[in-house]
Amino acid sequence: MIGDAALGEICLTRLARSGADVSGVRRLAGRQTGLTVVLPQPHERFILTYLGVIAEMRFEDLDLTQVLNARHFHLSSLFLQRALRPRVGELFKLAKAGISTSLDTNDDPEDRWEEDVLGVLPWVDVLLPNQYEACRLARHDEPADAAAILGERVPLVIMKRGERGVLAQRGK
Amino acid sequence: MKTEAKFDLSLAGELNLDLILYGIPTTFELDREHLASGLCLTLVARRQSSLTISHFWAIASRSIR
Repeated sequence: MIGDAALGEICLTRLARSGADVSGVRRLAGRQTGLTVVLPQPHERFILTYLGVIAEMRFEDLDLTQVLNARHFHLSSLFLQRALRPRVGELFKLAKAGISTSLDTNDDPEDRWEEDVLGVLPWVDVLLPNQYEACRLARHDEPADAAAILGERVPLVIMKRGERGVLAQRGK
Repeated sequence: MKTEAKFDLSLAGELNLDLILYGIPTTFELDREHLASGLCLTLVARRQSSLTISHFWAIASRSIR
């Protein structure tokens, strides 16, 4: 979903130009599209996000016939999707019944990493956290151990580690 | 009879732009003007976002919804 102002149109125009089908994107009148301001620093970066309609998309807003008419389903930024989050497990369960699935939770801005996220994992084929996110999800500080813990729940864990590459864990 | 999926990849998620400001200070002072040396408005600053994945996947000639 996008708002009806210029930022959303810029998103759609650029995405359509790259070849993606954007016919399923809904426009909400009088609302703002989300915007992220990235402030690079020498080694890391600040990331400031205004959620806009990102936080408003609900399970009921999805055209499941269209969403599931694919070979693979992916969802990212789980913690930003506040209205969808209560039923995201249901969404993954529906997807997993017919197609492969992947999840990138991205960061939790409130740094709570609540248990409901773990409840989604039985219907995820590939989990794509970065190192910090994996450790927070697994509630373990050691990255390799965190990958192993998550590997007990997901067939394939790909832990992104920036310039150090990735750590992959297949099963236990 | 099983029908062929219309898309290779389906995403349900955030759709937002990324505004990158380069060359900013590492610390900020309240009520002072801080200058950036460069600016980029893009879909793909955050490598894990739905938009980034859609964008690159589409460029790779896959069909995406």
